[in-house]
Amino acid sequence: MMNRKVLVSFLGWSVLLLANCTYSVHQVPLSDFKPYAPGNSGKPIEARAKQFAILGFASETNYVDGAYQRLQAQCINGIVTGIAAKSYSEHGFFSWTNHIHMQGQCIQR
Amino acid sequence: MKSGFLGLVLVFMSGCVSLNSVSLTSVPLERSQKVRAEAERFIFMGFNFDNDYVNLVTTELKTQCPNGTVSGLLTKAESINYFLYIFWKSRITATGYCVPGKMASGSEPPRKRRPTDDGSDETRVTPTSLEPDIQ
Repeated sequence: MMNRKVLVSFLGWSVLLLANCTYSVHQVPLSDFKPYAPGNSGKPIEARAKQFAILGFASETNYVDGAYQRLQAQCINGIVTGIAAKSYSEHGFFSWTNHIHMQGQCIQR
Repeated sequence: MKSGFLGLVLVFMSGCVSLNSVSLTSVPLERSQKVRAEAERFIFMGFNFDNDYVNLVTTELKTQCPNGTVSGLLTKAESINYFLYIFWKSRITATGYCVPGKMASGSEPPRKRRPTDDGSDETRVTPTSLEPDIQ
């Protein structure tokens, strides 16, 4: 009986302490660098978006499009190039949050 | 009992979307003409004998931008899972912009490569030529 209480307590604390502390990177897509320009030219811009999913129930992935639109909105009169995106998940208790983080260079024309 | 059964059916029949991959290309200055293409295939228990449906995306994008260059593409590959993952749908969505009057093929000179080269252009721009002139 005592052992069972200890086990339940251990599992409970593990869930509380380990929730939202594990991440997994799914992929890191990179765009082309066009037009060719020095690495330090242009303005660095970034956009993030996320989606919370319980037990994998998600009906769309529009958060990715949202991040892409927000990235472009920061560079209205320029070209967005060298886009590095990172798609990763933040794990919780029977749930997780999907994240997308896009970074690029805005080269004004 | 009946409502519980209906609830379960709804849960199992609703598709859970997961993102498999994302790819991006540079976003052009000219963003007035949007293009979008989508291709999908319904797959039962993993029986899928080819992936030719993916090629429809390229064809559709070419159709929407016959006299220009497609740029600023965001391509998503998704899986929509139904009923205990027994059947699912694979979907490719590409959205981007058509830059008119700038053909990718035909107007540019052919790229010259040495057989032993790493794939870069023979007449590429050297890093020193990118540096500003010091007067």
